[in-house]
Amino acid sequence: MRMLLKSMLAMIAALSLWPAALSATPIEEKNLVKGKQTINSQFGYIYIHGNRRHQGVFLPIPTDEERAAFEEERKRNVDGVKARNAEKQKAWAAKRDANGGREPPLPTLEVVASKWMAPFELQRPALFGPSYVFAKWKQPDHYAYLTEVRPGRYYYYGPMMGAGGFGLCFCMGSFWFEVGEGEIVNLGDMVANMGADSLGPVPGVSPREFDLATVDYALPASLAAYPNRVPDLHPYGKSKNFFGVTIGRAPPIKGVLGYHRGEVVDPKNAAEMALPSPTE
Amino acid sequence: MKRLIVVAALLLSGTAQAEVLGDKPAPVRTFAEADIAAIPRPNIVFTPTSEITGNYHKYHYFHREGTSFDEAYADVVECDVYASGISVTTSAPMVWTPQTGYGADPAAQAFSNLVFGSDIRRELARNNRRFCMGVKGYSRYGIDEGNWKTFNLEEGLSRAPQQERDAALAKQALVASGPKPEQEALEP
Repeated sequence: MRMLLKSMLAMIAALSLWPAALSATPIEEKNLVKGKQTINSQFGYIYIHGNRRHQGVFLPIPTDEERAAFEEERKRNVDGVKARNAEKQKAWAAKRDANGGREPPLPTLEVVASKWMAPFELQRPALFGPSYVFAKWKQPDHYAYLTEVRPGRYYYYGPMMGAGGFGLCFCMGSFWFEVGEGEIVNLGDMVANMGADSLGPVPGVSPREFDLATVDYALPASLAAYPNRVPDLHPYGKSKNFFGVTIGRAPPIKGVLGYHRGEVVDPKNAAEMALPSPTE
Repeated sequence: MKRLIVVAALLLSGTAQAEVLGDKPAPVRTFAEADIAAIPRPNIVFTPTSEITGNYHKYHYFHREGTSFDEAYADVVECDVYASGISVTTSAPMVWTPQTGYGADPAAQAFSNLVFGSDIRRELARNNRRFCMGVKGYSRYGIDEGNWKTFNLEEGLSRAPQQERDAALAKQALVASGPKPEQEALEP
C-alpha cells in the first residue's frame, strides 16, 4: 500500500516535471500537414513508433571541438563569476577598513548559472513521449513520435521519462547513430520492442538478443516524401547515471552491440572492445 | 588483467576505438600486497535465522572466483558510482528546456525529494549495485545486518565521508576477491 502510494506520488511528481521534459521539439503530423511545423533543413529528425505509448531519451555526443568549446565557455563563465565576487569582497573589505573595522552590509554575491553545472550531454537532451505523439492510430493501437534535434551523433540513454529521472538508464551499454541535416532518421519500432537488460528476475543474464531484421520501418505517408533513412547503429560504452536513476543496459543487438560480462563489446571488431568505467 | 588487455586493445586499434563511444575509462588502481594485507577482513560467517534470511534483499555481499583484489576493487568502485548519488533530486543536474530555461527543475526536484524517502533511494542504490555486480559475473550472498554494516554503507539522504567510503569499498573488494563463501549463493 505504501509502495502504491509512493508510486502514485511519483507519477504526480513526474507529471509536474513534464513541461521541463521538452527540450527537443516534438513534431505533430497535424501541424506538419497544416504547415504550422516544417521539416527544416537545419535540423534532423528521429522517427520512432510502436504499438503503445512509450518514452525515452537520446543524448548528444559532442565532437572533441564541441566539448572543448563548451568547457571553455563554462570556464569563462565560472571564472567570471568568481572574479566579480572576489572584487565585491575586496571592495567590502576596503570599505570596512576605511570605517575603522565597522562592517558594512555584506555584498550580494553572484552564483554560477545552473546551466554551467550540467555537462554537455544535458544541454540539449532529446526526449520523446509518452505525450506529443506525431500521430496515433486505432485498431490496432499505434503511436509514432517525431523529434526535431540538432544534427549530430546521439546515443540512446534509455527508456526514461522526462528530465527529472524516471525509468531506466542504459548506463552500462547502448547504441549510437548519426542524425544528418534535414533528414528523418528512422529507428522504426526497435526502441519500443527491444526491451532492456535490467534488474529483472535474473539480473546479469541478458535478455534475448535483439535482431534488427525484426524491426518495422514503415513510415506514414505524411513523411514518406521527406529525405529519410534507417541509420547505421554503433555500440556505445558506459555512461554516467546523470539523473541518479535505476541503471540497466540495452539488450545485445545482433551485429551491433555485445557484452562480455560488464563490458561493452563491438561484435564487428575481432578485438574485444570495452569502456571500463564512468569516472566521477 | 582483463582491463589491461582492454586498454592495450584500445591503444593498438586506433580506428576501432572510434567505433565504441562512451565515458573515458577510469584509471586502474593497483595495490601493493602490503596494502591489501593491511585491510581488516570483514567477518562473513554467521548463523542464519529466519529474520536474517528474510532481509537478504537488503543485506548481501558479492564474490567472484578467480578475481584479483585490483580487479574486484575496480568493479566495486564502478558499481558504487552507479549506486551512490541516487538522488532523483537536488544533486541531479538541471536540464535546459525551451519552456522553462533552467527555471523549473529545483522546485520539481525538491518535490521529488519530498516524495522519495531515503528508503526508496536505498532500494534504488541496492538494485543498481546488484545489477552492476551481477552483469560483471559476481555471485550474491546473504549476510546478517551486524556484519554487513562493518563493510557497507547505509546511505539515505546523506553521503558518507570519502574516507569512510574508501575504507568500505576496500573491504568489499577484499571479500569479493577472497575465499569462496561456504554458504549458498542467492539469485544474482
